[in-house]
Amino acid sequence: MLKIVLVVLLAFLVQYVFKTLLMFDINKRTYNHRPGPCRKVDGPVHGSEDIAIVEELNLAFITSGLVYLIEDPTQVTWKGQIFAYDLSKKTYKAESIPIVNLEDGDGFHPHGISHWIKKDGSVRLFVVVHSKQFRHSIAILDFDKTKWQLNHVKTVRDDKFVRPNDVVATGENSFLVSNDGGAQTIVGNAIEMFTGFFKGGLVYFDGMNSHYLLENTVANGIILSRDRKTLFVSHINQETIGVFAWDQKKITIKKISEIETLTGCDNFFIDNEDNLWSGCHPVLKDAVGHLGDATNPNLYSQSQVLRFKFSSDLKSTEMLEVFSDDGRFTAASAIAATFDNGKQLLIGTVFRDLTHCDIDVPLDF
Amino acid sequence: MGLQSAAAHFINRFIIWITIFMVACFLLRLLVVLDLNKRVYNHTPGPCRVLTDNYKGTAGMTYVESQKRVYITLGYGRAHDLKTKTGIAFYKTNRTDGRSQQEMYDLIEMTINWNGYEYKKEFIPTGIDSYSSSNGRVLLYVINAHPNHQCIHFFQIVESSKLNHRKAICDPSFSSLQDIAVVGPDRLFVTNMAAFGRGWAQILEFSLQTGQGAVYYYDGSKLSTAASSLIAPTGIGYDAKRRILYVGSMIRESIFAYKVAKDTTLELLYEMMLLTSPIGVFVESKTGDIWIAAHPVIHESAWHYTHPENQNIHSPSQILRIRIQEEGNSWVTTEPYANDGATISASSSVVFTDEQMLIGSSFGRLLHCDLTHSYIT
Repeated sequence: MLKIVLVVLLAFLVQYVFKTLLMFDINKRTYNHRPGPCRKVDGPVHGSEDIAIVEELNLAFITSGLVYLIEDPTQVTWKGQIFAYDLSKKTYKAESIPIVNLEDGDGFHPHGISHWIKKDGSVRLFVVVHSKQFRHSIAILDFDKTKWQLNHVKTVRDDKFVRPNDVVATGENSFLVSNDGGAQTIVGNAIEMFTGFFKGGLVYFDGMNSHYLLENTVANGIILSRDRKTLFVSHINQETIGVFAWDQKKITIKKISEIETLTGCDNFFIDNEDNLWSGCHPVLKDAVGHLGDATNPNLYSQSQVLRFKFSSDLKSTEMLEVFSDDGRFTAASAIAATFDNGKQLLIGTVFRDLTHCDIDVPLDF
Repeated sequence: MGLQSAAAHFINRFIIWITIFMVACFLLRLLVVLDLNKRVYNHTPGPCRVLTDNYKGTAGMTYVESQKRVYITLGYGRAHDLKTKTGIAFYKTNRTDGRSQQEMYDLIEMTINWNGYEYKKEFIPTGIDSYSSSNGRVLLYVINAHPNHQCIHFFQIVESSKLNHRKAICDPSFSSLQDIAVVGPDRLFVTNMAAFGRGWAQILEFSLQTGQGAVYYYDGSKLSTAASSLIAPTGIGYDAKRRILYVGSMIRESIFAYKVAKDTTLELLYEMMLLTSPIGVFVESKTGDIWIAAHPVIHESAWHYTHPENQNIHSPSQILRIRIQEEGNSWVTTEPYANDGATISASSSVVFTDEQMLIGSSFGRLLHCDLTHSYIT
């Protein structure tokens, strides 16, 4: 009897070790390739984690200076900023925009970002913000084009914003927020990863109240399709993308499919042909090492840009790898966004700089 | 007596647990080798087109600089019981020789004068290499992968599109010939991938990773073993300028670099871990860059090789380019091409020249790509 128990235990141990080895991608690496000439954008050096492209203004807003699972606030020597990048000419230079009327200027470390065009045509930004003490909120900022500044409108805090990662604007005062886990410490996060019992999820804030849409999962990047009816959720630790039908009036989501990517896709972008773009982390062991010690220049992890072209029923997708790097040029890509009718590409990283590429190869073949 | 039986009992249990532990470790290694967590994400370096879909296999390629031609072996699938024509064809890489747009992508099949060779119907060509002598003679050396008749065939190119068969070298130690690299006139290295030629015996050999592959050397009159105890050696390529022989290992997912001494003995320089299974190797003579045609996901390749007649069972294709730096102390790997198998399945050979690339596959198509930015892809 005891022998049977021991053999079963050993079998469980072997399969657990195997799953963990595969989860950490010990047998994977990237092979570099680019879609055309690539250059660094001057400006963001400590992160370009998310990008919001406002086509109406030919402008990209880039969040920089992320704080993530930090345990010692004195380690945070960098500044949280939002950069603006002019997409109409190849300046390869992004400039930091001043943010006016922030409650706590030193506690502003932006993460995910989304934009909404208000009725008067001006741009409103929704930004996931962490403080140096890793407290979380959603900041609502209005872009003043004339004065070239961001005016702080409101900060939303909620118990359901457990560990927010990304945000999608659904109205002038409403948005969806993803929680990428429940733990607030590195050890807690490791426990979630190793056990598979995730405490993240998806929350909808309607302007007054918050509503749970998904619980006990990992939700990283989130985005809505151009018609605002389909929601894409990155389950980054499970290496899948969840596709949901989103009903804003009823505040409900209905699962359509789950795409297995075999890579950790981070933030999302929808191009003007309704293709989904993502910056991914193909090798988890290196990503964990790099993101755990972000200021160490000797630690870097791989970057990957994927484009997903969905079937009309949204149940399957063609995956195209547009960019791949072992980390020495672009480390830990988190977002990829195209503009100029798909001829140019911006690649943002979690804790490093911003890359701007031309796309000179065919993407459909 | 009680003490003795207790000791025997302990040893017995100890042996059982050691055995279980070893089996568990073997299973783990096997599962990791299968690449269950890998896939390929499609991309191309520029516009691509299919040159031919008429043969079940375009598995071997070699480039002849003096003629600006790529010679391609056809019909490797017959070695895996597929019905197909076999032979050798060439593709002209010169885009400015006055041919029309349509003619530019033509493949020209060659006629073979067998000069009375009695086993010509058992010719299934796969690996191929060439030697251009100073008097303008071009010699082709071709691996015959027929299960019952593994040989190295020597040809000479005559009258532009004809091949004269000169001789064949067959040996009982040839069980799974894969590729060939020529280092001089009638002097060549060949890879023998496994002790068992095909089927489940070979799969078992690969699973156990017993390392029974070898590299043989032929000096013009005698055959000898140049390197042995290799795990599934596949593609082989020679850098004549630097006298380096590159040998791919399918199971180790790596490339071995050997220095070829004056007496053609091999000295191991380094091993490059690719983490993908190399099948074909092409060395750019000018730059020394190594191009690899690879099978990136082994379990899908194994399934594809077991059912080559099934068009729905694909294997991913991958082309790598490795730039060696600092005399082999470091290298940079780029991936010009990758496909999940829908366009080209199981890439097994590659040639790059003049901003264009040819990709051959084990049981199917020949693909031609232009490289929009060959310096960065």
